[in-house]
Amino acid sequence: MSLEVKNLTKKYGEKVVVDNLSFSIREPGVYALLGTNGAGKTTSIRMILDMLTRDAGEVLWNGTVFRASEMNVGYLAEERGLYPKYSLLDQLIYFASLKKVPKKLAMERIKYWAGRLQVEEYIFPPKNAKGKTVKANKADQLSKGNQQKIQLMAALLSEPELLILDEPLSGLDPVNTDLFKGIIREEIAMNKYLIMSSHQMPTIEEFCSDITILNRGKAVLQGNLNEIKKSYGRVNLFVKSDSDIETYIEKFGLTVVNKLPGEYHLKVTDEGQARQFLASMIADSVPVVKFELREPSLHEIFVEKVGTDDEKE
Amino acid sequence: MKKNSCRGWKDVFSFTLTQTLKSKPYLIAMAIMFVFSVISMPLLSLITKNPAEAGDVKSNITKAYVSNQTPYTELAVSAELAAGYEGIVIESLTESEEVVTKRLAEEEVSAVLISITDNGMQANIRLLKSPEGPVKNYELQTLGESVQRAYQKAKMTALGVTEEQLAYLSVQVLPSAGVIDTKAAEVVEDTSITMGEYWFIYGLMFVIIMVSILSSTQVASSVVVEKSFKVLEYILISVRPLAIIVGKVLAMLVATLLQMLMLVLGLVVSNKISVGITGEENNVLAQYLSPEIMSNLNPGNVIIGLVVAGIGMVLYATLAGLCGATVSRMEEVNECLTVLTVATLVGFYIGMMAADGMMASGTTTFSTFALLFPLSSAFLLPGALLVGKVDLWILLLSVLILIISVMAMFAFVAKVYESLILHNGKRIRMKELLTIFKNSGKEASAENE
Repeated sequence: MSLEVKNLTKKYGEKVVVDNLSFSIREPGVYALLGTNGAGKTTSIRMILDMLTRDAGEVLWNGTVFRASEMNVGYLAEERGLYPKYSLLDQLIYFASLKKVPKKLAMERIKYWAGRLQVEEYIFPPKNAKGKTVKANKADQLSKGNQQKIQLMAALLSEPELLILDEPLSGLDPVNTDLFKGIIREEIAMNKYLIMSSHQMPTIEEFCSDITILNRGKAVLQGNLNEIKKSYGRVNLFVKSDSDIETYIEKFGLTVVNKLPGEYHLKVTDEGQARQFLASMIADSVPVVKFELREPSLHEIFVEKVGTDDEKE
Repeated sequence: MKKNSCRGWKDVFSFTLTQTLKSKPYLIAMAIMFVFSVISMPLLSLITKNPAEAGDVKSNITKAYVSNQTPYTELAVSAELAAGYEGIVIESLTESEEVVTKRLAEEEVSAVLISITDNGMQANIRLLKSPEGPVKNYELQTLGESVQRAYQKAKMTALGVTEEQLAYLSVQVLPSAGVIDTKAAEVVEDTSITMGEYWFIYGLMFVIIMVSILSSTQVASSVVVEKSFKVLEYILISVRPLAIIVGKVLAMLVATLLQMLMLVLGLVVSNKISVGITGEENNVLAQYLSPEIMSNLNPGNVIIGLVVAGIGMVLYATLAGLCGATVSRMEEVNECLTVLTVATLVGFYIGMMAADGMMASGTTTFSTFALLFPLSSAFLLPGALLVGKVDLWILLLSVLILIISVMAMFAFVAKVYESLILHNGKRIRMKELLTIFKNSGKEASAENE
């Protein structure tokens, strides 16, 4: 199976919000869509899902036209979307029925996910001291995090082949973040196709194999995350020493990216320069506590790509 | 409009309908409507019932002096009155009216003076009471109506008219006018409607506009709720926008029709109770509707009328759904309904003017237009059909035009709804809506290429 997004374009008047976006997912796993606020991530997702009309482009699933309404797709939107005054159970059964999940099966899955996500008490109200069922909770009585859990349940009820998660971890506490991460890992293990949009770079690095960075509607960087990082080379040097090493930094003409108490984050031109820098300090018996040479983080790549572009503007 | 554009409408329909039927405001409104309709007719009967006929009215009037200055015996009048007002002493006037009037004002404050005159051209019945006494004005008025009936009856009896003859004379005479068609040399049937039929059409139009506004407003609100609470994004991954609007329109229509059905059921129960209380053979409906309308109120006509009104309401509710999609916040619902309100009022007033015209001059070009124009036919046609003033060809053509209008509205909605449904921000104006429609046409052709 594969998902191909070809030349997606969306304009609002003269403004191009998504400009000729193309990418493909050929293997199960998580594909990341990154970008600053207003970069066009959500618009791209909405176009993929057929919610918004496209000015150009197409989306293919296994080579044929992809229609979200005719496929088993799960979607967790960035903003919470539940009816405020209807019972949660009714809403979940409704969302499942729209995906053609029979009511009985939907109930079984709702019970399972309610247990997994620890929201049973909201969906299946317990009995009070008099043995009467407490009034069912409505969406507007839930916290944002719990609403997000209900939304994730709605997305998973049909056991979708393709799962699209728009900022899935925003607004979650550390415990629930781990809960969500665990579920995402399970979906990956089940060979599902996922598209994830997030501002949390460590999360993207944790799950995603391929990425697209969008800036003002245009893809400014695309490809396999490991290969992208390799292409940058190991130019990030973290050095910690009990002595003052500023003279060595000046001597080798290194760029100081960040200076913490006793530790420097430096930029080297290549690994050879780093080795010479280390050799020089060891020769002078400078006590080096930490010497770490590594590839740039996704955060750094993102800031470099998007930040540079912003500066040009 | 693609076939699969509507796939999933049944799920939207059943969920929307179930949630609406379960909602507290809906249930409370329905209960209030039912209770009011149940008590309406007995209440009407009790209010309009003649106390003299009731026989159980406790009147503050203790004595009535009758001054009969007519050629007809006052004995009969007194006897008729005495039958209706037990406990009231009916006494013929033996003194002058001035003396009695003075006594009523000062001493006999609970007595009244009834003065009857008849010059052969006009009869007058004058009732006087004390300004300080316990007798209320309405009691005097009710007594006056009883005296009027008693006098009429006494007059007829004095003239030797029997009960059967009286009933025969009372039969309603319905005038009918016709125009000679000089070409065909035949008399063309009069197509004008009576005042009673006009009020029947007007009443029915009022009920239809009420149901239409209720269901349309609910559709618009429902669309805005889904937009403002972002639920639409979740629904749109499973069904197309057209399926959402079709499901919602039909659900709200069914919900409103159920309320109306409850109202009708309440009125039927009310009528039964009313008949039970008053013991009258004729029900309240028959008292207010002419025999012509009653004869046209057969199941076939009622069903056709309901279908026509239903299609019309679908048209209005679809327009309401479109209006709802042009805004994104709950507080903008009223603002977005301007187009719907204008369309509804235009349809209603055209229907009303046509009914006016039908009363004055029968079927005219304007009334035919009103019966065919989809905005007005939804209101006018059911009533006109039930009074028997709609030709078969007009009925068929009108239904056809309504169905085409609904399909056209659905096609329009299908094209612009996708652009509107996720729109957030300022309200979309009609001009912008037409631009969206044009552009969506271009997109569709581009996709086909």
